[in-house]
Amino acid sequence: MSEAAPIFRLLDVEKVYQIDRGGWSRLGRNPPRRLAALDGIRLTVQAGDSVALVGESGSGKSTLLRVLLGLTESSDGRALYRGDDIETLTDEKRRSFQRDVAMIYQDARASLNPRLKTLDLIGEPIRQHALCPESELRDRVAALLARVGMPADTADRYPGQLSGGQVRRVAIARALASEPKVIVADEAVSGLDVSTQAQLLNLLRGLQHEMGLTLMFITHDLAVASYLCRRIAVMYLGRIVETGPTKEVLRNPLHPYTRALLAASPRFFEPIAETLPGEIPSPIDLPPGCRFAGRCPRAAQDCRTHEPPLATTRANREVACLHPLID
Amino acid sequence: MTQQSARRTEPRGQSVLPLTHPREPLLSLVDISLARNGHSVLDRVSFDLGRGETLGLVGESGAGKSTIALVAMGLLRSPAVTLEGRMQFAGHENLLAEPEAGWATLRGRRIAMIFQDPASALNPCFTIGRQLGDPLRRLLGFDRAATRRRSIELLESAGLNDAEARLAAFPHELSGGMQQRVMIAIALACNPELLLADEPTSALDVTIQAQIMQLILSQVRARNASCIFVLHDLALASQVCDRIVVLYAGQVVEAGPTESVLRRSLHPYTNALKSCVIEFDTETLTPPEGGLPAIGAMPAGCRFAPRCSRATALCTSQTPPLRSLEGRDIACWHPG
Repeated sequence: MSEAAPIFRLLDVEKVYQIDRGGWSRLGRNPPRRLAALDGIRLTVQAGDSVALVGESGSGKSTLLRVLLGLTESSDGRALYRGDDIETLTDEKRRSFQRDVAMIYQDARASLNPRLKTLDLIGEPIRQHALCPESELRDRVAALLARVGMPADTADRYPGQLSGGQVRRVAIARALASEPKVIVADEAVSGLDVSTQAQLLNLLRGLQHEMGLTLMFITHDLAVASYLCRRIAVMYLGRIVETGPTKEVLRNPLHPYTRALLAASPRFFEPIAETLPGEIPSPIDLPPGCRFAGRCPRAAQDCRTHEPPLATTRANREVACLHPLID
Repeated sequence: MTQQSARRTEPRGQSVLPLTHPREPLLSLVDISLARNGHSVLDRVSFDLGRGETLGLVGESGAGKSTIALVAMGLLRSPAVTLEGRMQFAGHENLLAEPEAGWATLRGRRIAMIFQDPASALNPCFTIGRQLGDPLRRLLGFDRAATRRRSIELLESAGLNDAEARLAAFPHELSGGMQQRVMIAIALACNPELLLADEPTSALDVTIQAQIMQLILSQVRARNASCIFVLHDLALASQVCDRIVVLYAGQVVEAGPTESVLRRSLHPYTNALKSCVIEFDTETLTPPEGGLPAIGAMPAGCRFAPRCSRATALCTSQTPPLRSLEGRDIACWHPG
């Protein structure tokens, strides 16, 4: 494929888990129950881009990341990395894929082996890809630690001796160790103090600019998305319901769900917003029509029968809604 | 350590009850100091909470927010912990000196707590009905039928539909939001006068967070109860709290009505915390460097001085007293 092929390209990716085989009732055989974790995902990520995936828990954000990394096989559609199907990469291409695409996991502490010192944790990808002779490993790890704002003597400490913010920094340094071109991060700054979160966001932003990284960032926090990512994809129950440039989408949401998420984000001195009723429904055996119709204040008759496709409404913006919010 | 004990004897300002305090306090913490294994965790923490008031404890992790909630719940009563100061509550002069038998009539009944993570606070082995019925039977002496009736009422008012069927459910059968609703129902079962909510929504989605916060506020208001929220989100705190107490490294640095503390902040630390909050038009964040000092290695003078842009020689040598200024309490040598 040519150099211009996008980093990631998802073509109608679906991931369906079969819950059971369907039982027998008096009326005959029941169909098997299916859980659609991802349904018709179309997304293109260009080199150097930063994309935020947002949505409530259960919307399929993490499943999408797993498909992107080749950790989960999609049940339908194609997931491409630079034009090649991620699931059927040749050994050689898979090795370079593993080096080029690095992941920062949601629970940094759990993602680091507690019995390894920081030196070995960060050194592991370097050794795996044979990026430097063993004698230079310590210097290389020290340089990575410095890059994430940690002193060199951290190399001799275990994860258990580090604070929550420090563990995240080590996880970031480990992700950078293989000199990746793409960073995929799952809630990399959630559950931290605002001060630590702000420090890490500035770090990630700096790294992205300096190293020209492509960033896929999962977050449930719209403010974090707006600070870090140029583009945003809002997910609901396995579908992308709205995409576009982050600032525009947040200033002027087209999908009622995006607007509800925005309204629910805390803002200084404003009363707590009128809340979205109910919770995200179970993704098992979904009813026909728009998935959001059950909670949507604007739902009309056709919303319960027709499923809206993700369609371009204006430059750079796509929305999956039969009655989008037009200003 | 010698340095620390020397500073312990310094007065932290004469103003124990400055202007900014409510007229009829339900709870008064007076110079609460707590040490674990000789290391100071809380240092002369004082604040009042009026009846029907909501108060937010904010600050970074390790500042002592949850510790204060546990002290107020009477849950830090171990030989490894030394506790000084007074906790006045609804006519009791000092609950810290109360024997365990006295606490047993208060805890869960007049003072109740909502914990951060409902999935780990609820017992996975017992049904919702059993866990909700426990305080009703044990503390209020309800019989079986009355317990069941009241449990259903409580779940319904906590916004769970199909309440009767939920009684037989186990915690894992409920979503995080529903589990937190159950926690709220349990905490409110005995109509407590004081509710402590330790990060009640940080494990939840924003849409559910808004629902749960509205639920807590409406239930607290309906009972004219008081509530202490432990929060790390300043924007959320500004939405739900009447008053704010900002903590840093175990000390109160700024406290008063939410409007004064968060809109016209005077302490550099409060301003630093505000500067970390991202709003949708934020272009650059300027968080304070570094983190809290380690317990057992507190700097001399103002504990925030090493991270403070205004710190002077005075700040690094002398502890600023907590004093009244422009409608709030503040501990800073160079406020503004």
